[in-house]
Amino acid sequence: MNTMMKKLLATTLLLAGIAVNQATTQPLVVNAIGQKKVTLSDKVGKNQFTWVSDAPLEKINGTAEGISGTLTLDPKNVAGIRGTISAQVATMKTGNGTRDGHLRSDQWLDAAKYPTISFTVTSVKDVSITGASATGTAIGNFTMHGITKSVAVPFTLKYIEESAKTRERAPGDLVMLTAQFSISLKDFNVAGSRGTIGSKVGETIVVKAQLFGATGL
Amino acid sequence: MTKTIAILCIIAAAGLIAWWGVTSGELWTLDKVAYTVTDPLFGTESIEWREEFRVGLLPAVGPVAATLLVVGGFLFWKRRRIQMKPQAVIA
Repeated sequence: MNTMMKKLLATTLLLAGIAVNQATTQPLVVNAIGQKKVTLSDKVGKNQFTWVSDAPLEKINGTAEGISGTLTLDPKNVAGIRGTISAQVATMKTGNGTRDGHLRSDQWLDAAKYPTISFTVTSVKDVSITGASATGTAIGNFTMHGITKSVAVPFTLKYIEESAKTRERAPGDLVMLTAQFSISLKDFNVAGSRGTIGSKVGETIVVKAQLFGATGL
Repeated sequence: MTKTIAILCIIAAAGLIAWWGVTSGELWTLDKVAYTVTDPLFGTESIEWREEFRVGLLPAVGPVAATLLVVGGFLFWKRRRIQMKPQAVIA
């Protein structure tokens, strides 16, 4: 009886192990094999962060460009994505030149002292595959205003294999990543001008990312 | 004369606010306007900023319209005050 229970337990653990392994190494349905280096480039598509500050007195829509970075991706193991993405603070726009100046000033993001905002992927979880697309959550270190915090970013990924059509944009396979997350200005020690946060600027900023890269760059 | 200037001030303020409402409705004056562009390959939408001037409530229309309303209101109040003063009776 004892031996039977041990065998049953071992079988259950083995099956559970296989299930976990399959869940974490689910492959994209593409022909590409092996680890690929994906370089972000505006040639592939417009790399952009769009963000919204929704405060009682004012709603501000803005963008950040000047995005660069590389990711390593094995299409057979989406959970293995790693890499760093960064955006230039000086490229942030809100449609009003004066306001853009305030945003980059030392009262806010201090572009002179902290010129980049970056995100480094350290792990990926909850991967789900649909054909050549995947969804998941990237866990990583988000750095802004000189402060680094661990954040979880839900993302979608689309992998397009090289074709005559894709070569018009960039050589190699193309990859698109979209993500949405929120950041609290307080967490990153962004105080702004006195009394502004919470009235004219939201305490939390909603950020959407659109990233495009190619394996042949 | 005072009444005419007061009415003109209020009409100008209303006109400015209507112009602001029709052209932008934005709180701040914009020197760039966001347009949504769709990527034909990926189907994603991105923001493209185009050089364009859109008058906003601040710092343009709001203070000017408010000043005109204050001036118009003050002129009406002054005129009414003069009208309500007791007339001197000449014996």
